[in-house]
Amino acid sequence: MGQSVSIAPLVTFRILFGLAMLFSTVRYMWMGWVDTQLINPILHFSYYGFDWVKPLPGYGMYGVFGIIVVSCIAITLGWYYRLFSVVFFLAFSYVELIDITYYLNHYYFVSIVSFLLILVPANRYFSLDVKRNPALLQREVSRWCINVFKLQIAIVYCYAGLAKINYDWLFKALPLAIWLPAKTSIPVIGFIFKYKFTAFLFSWLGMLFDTFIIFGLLFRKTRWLAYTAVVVFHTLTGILFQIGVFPLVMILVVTIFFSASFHEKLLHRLARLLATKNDKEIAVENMATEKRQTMGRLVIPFLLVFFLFQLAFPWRYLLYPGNIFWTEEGYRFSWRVMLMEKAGTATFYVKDGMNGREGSVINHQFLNSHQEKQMAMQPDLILQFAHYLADNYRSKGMKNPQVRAEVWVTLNARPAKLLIDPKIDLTSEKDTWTAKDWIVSFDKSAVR
Amino acid sequence: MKVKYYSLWFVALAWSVISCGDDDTTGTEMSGFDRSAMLESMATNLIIPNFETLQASVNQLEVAANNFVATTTEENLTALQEAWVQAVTDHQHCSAFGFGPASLSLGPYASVLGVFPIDETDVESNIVSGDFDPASSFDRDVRGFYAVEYLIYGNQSTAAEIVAGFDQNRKDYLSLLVNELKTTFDNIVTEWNTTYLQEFVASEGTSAGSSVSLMYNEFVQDYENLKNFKIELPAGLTAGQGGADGALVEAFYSGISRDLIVEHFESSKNIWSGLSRSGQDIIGFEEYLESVVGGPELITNTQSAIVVIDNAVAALPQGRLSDQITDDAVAVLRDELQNNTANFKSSMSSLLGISITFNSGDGD
Repeated sequence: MGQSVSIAPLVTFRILFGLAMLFSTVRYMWMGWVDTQLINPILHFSYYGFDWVKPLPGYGMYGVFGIIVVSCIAITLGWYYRLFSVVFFLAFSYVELIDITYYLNHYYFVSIVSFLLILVPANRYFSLDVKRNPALLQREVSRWCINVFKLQIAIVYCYAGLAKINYDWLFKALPLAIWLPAKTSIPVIGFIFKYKFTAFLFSWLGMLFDTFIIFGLLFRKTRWLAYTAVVVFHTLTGILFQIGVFPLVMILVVTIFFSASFHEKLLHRLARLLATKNDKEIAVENMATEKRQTMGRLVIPFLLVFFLFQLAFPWRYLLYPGNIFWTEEGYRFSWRVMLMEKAGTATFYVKDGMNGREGSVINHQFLNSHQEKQMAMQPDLILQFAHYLADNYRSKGMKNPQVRAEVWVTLNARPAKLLIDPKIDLTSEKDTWTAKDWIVSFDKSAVR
Repeated sequence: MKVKYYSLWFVALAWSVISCGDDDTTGTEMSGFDRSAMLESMATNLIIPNFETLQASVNQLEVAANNFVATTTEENLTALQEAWVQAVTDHQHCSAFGFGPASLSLGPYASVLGVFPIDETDVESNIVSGDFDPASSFDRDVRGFYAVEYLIYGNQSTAAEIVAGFDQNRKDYLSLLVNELKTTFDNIVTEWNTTYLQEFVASEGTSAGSSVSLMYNEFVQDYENLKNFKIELPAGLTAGQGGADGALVEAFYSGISRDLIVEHFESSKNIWSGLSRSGQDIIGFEEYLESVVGGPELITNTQSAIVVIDNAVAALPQGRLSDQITDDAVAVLRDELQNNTANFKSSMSSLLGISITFNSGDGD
């Protein structure tokens, strides 16, 4: 851990990550999502314990996005890096926490990586900070500074792979057998998606890729081959599925596995291209070494705890009864990506506790289509919406509103079944860490 | 080498998995379904013919309105009312196609020209002021089919009273509204027949914004509109309502709400099961479902739900629905439409792999 290694891989990582985030942020704004996802919705679904996170009024959200753009650029250039790595982490995570229906594993990954970037001196070489203050220059860093990112990437892939080891994925090729035939219109390769064999092949290769790719990346002999596989795999999923910038982010960050000499050459070439004087020999020996070691002593025990948590948290689903795909208890923050095809229709009934009149709710009068789609299959979000509805009708003068929901959910092309008990008054239920006993068990729930 | 080795090994393994003991869905070709063929079949046998029929009846409506404006008699009023009934009946068979040329600047055409209840007070003040400009106004509840209905049926007025009260301002407003309808449907038909058909058939993917996604989304929206606004809301079955309100039904002034519900559900059935309005078998969502995993089960469920809804529609009381809105049959129909919603909405889009929104999904 304490050994010193070349800083170059970390510097490339900083630059690529900064650029990828810049692209992602600008794309988000370009797509108009600041308005449609954050500002326009009447209500937002919150993360457990984070219901105090709200979008800023007026043009506030655009201000936040402006700050994110600036910090992406600052991280890329290594300009006031310590400050802007903290700013980016906070601003990005703030936006992420506004509405859980937009939860994506790769947003979570970005939050983690940007948090780790705060802890490492990725600005000590080839940066505006060094140009400003040459005393900061440092050609080597402790090994952990690079390994934390490798470990994090390893966790993402391995856990994504392990999650694919289930009956539906391997032996029924689901959900790929649903998704691929919808993609036959893709140019050139489209025709292969109508064959069942393709779904099986992709399911197995996908599982093996995710589970084992990290070993290919770790060893010098297999590294280029593995990286080619990474590029092919993510490009293909990027073409096939509507998954935004995630493929690009992974293709870029995985380069951290390449050798120090590869990254040094890369940076030298980049330096020549930009013709900076940054790369001139400057006295390396300075106070930095001393400071670094103090930092390391504090950080390493913290990182141990951090990664132990990372390794353990995805297994929490074992503590809940029932089928995790059905209940989704312990589903998030576990690198379960593209694992199932699930969709629901949720009809909410609000009853006036005084006169007993019951009426149904037109969901899209409160939710955008993405929110409605996500809510209608996730029990904790169904509960949140029920509480929102109760508050809403209470504020309009209804006494003791009771809310129940009839939720029909299809999982991996099976006929739809009731997800939760349609008789239960959801206003009397609370979201907690314990199992939700009002979810109807997947095996017991009957088809209509 | 490692990766290559693994790949080969597992290609073999995957083969063996498929070749041995695959029970439910046999055959190596999972889906030879031709979405382009479905789009073309739907467009040329259902969508375009239905819009052409509506265009013809709206043009007839315009002729009848001009006659009535020129010669304001009870006979011409009756002719105008008959033309209106035909147009609004044909509208039921188009309201699910509010995309492409039928997506107006204010939204799908039915959400602009098919709005009810209309705002009588605003209509009256527009008539008096005479400065309503359909092109620049954002008001939806003062125009379209049901504002015309209000003008030519009145709110509990006799034919004699309507004719007597039809002054020049009223005539001008009627002409304005009918003209907007005529222009709109003329344009929609022209666009479909010149440029859009080709574009529609060519976009044969399933991602957000593709023809399949557009047609599907509007189909579901239109089906939900039938339940939510034509039945549930007037029946007082929407959350927070103090009671039923018959005046909220579609076609309140003419009293033909029941007939329009019949036509509307007929249209939903045609789109789902692939039938032209005259009953000719074409390629619709049902045929598409036949080709996908889990499709046959969903078809069976949907078909039985449709039979139940047909019966519930048939059981609706005859006569003015607004006077019998608390009849049990109305609530039963709502429940049965609701029971089928998951079939049309989440289950179908899930099985067909249709993207509903542009937002990114969770990738790997």
